[in-house]
Amino acid sequence: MTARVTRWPGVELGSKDLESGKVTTVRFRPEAKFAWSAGEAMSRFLAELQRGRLIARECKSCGRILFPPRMFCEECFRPTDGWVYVRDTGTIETYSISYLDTDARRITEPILVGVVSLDGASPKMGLMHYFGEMTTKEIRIGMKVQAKWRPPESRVGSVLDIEFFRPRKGAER
Amino acid sequence: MTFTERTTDARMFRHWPGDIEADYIYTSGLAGERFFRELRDRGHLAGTRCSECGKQWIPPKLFCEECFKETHEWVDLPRTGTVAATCVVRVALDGAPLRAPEVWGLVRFAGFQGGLVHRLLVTEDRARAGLRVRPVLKPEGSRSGAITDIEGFAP
Repeated sequence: MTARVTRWPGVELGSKDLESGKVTTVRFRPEAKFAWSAGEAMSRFLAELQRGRLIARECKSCGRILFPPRMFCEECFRPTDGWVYVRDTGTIETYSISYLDTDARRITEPILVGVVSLDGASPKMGLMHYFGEMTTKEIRIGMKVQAKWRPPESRVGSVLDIEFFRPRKGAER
Repeated sequence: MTFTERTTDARMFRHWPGDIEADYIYTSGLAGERFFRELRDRGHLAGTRCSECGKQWIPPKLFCEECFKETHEWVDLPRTGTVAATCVVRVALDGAPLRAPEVWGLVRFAGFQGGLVHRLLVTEDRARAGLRVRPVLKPEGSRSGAITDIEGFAP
């Protein structure tokens, strides 16, 4: 506040005032539902996740293994050539210790999120996911991790069929 | 090549459903608050009057658009208004067809700038500009202080 402005004009209202009916309100929730089609490559990708596997596409021109899979090579401008499985192990490329949840609400126990590059895919290719079974002190770039899959019966064909990535047993730290 | 191995069975494709959470609570503001309280508690429609130029505003405004003066005077609307424009609505908010068409209109009031857009309680064939109408309110006690406290305008 400045010397001239000691308070903002207007009436301050809190959520209690709105709930108690202190003022007249209109409440509305638009039905903003949508469906995003996964397409050729991602449909197969999601189906394979449900089976507990990670699949990529290979481009025979540049030799890259594209993960997540795509039907077109953006380097060579040509269709990709075939399906290849990649492993569910990989390396942490980057990470965040987040004190905000997926709804941007403040949380006291941070969640660990980041990018894993997967073994079997071309360098730097992987996916963004959660990390678990490690502390904020232990997590580091270059850490070897492995997917912790949900039990087959609770998989739905989603990236969350992997619960999180955890430190890979037996790998050098 | 890829294009020969393309999936032709659409059931193989997956989709991802989503729902954008865009709910909100809209407060009426100072002038709107008074308007809706008058409507809820007294069953009256009220607007504001500019003491500078004498223009009267519905919906009520805190400032006169002409003089940029604050408007402090409140005045009741005439008991009847005049339909200025009509529209027959055949689809609901979500785009689904309505079972029966609804008639909507802009109602203006003598001596007031602006007007109210609301349901006209007439059949489609009677909806026309120039029709004299009066507000039909929900009974006292069941009004909540919203524009839906007016059920519509009837001849």
